[in-house]
Amino acid sequence: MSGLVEFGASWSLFAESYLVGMISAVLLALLGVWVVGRRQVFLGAAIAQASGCGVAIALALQLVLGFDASGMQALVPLLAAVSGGVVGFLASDRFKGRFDEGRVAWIFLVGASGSVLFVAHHPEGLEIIHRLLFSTMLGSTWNDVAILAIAALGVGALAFRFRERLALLILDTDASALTGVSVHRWTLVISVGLGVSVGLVMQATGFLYTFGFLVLPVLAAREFCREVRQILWVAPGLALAVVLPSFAVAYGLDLPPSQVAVAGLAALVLAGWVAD
Amino acid sequence: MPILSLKQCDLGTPNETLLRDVSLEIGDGEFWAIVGPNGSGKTTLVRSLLGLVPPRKGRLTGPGEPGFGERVAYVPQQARFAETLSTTPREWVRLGLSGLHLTRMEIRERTAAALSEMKIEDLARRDFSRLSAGQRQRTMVARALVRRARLILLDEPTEGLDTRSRRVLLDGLQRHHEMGGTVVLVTHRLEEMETRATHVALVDKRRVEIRESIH
Repeated sequence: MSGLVEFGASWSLFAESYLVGMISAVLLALLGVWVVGRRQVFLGAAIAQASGCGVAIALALQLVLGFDASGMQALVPLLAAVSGGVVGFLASDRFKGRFDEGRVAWIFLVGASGSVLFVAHHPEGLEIIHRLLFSTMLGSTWNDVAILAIAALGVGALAFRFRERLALLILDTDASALTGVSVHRWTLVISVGLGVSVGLVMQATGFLYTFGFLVLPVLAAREFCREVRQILWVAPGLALAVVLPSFAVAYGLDLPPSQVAVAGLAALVLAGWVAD
Repeated sequence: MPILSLKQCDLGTPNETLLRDVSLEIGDGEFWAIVGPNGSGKTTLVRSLLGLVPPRKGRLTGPGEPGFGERVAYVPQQARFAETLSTTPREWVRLGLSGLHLTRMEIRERTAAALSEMKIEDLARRDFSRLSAGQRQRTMVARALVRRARLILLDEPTEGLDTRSRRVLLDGLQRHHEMGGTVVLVTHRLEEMETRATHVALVDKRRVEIRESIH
């Protein structure tokens, strides 16, 4: 009980971090329905990694162009979002040729090496990239809260408005096309939106948290739901239900919150598998 | 006025022509059987008729016209689905109404009627991935019937089905045809086309030969 009180008392100190964690959890879980449904889990990891490379490019530009701290607050999310968006565009059906797992692996590896190479001579670069890979939200700002809240509200509203169309698009693209849906256009918009959103979350929460909350809430939800339309709402609900208790446990036991939250979700998925 | 027509079309993939100089018109109330050996291009013909694969040459009318999606339903060769997510026959069939702007009551009634027509109402809430091939295929036909479309195209829907599933499925199509609907059925089975087809399209050696009124 006293642990909960202490966690409550810490709110004023870490409000931005907690809010970023909660909003990101909901946003990623919504996007995860598309990623898992379309069998693009590895693409999710590649987008996150490429966004890390975007952060590294921002840091490299800081060295060259001499941006101050406020300039970096805008540049880092921008380049992370652009990097994710570019990968999303490449993964959409518009890209010429077959976008197979090999190309996704190529993007992942270029992102992974680029995110270190670009900051090799930056005084704090490697430390920042290390924190991103480790996934800590302690550096989150109100700027991050605002950007992610807008993204989550936008994605949530669109998912609610087009829930039937999305479910059909995930399950059967031919049937979608026959009902008059432009599959190529929708795939392009969703893929770019996915890339931008994942990029924004990645630069605020780090790789593990981003990838974990993109995939695990949907894996858990599908164990408890019978239909895609239910998963669209249960996955964000489960993500939100896990994230706050995880932060409280992490605070009480002095553990890293991102790792506790991802471990909590993984345990939930395991429980679903055992119960099935 | 045909629902669908191809005029002197070359059909295939973006890189390869599989069928040359195809011309056919599908009108109201007709029952078409499309037959031919494996790999002859039957699926390409059906997907081209639907506008899912644009012709490499020639003129296709029907797809892209206003209301085309409301007039046509399609049953693919195998019930493909995102195995990574849970779904049920009820959801599949209800999604068949996508884009029709119906009330909740109409959606419920039509879904129940289509499930009943294919005799899968007791499976409505079951995990789709755990259904047999026949049950899945009947679900896909129910999804086509629920639209109450004028034209239903089916790509070898009875392949690998047991006798009961095949009969339920073909009886449903027969009723659709008797009520004035049009059916295009890709099949290997002579008995399926002999008793029902008003037109037969023989697909072989990159050509499509049309025969009318075989019974």
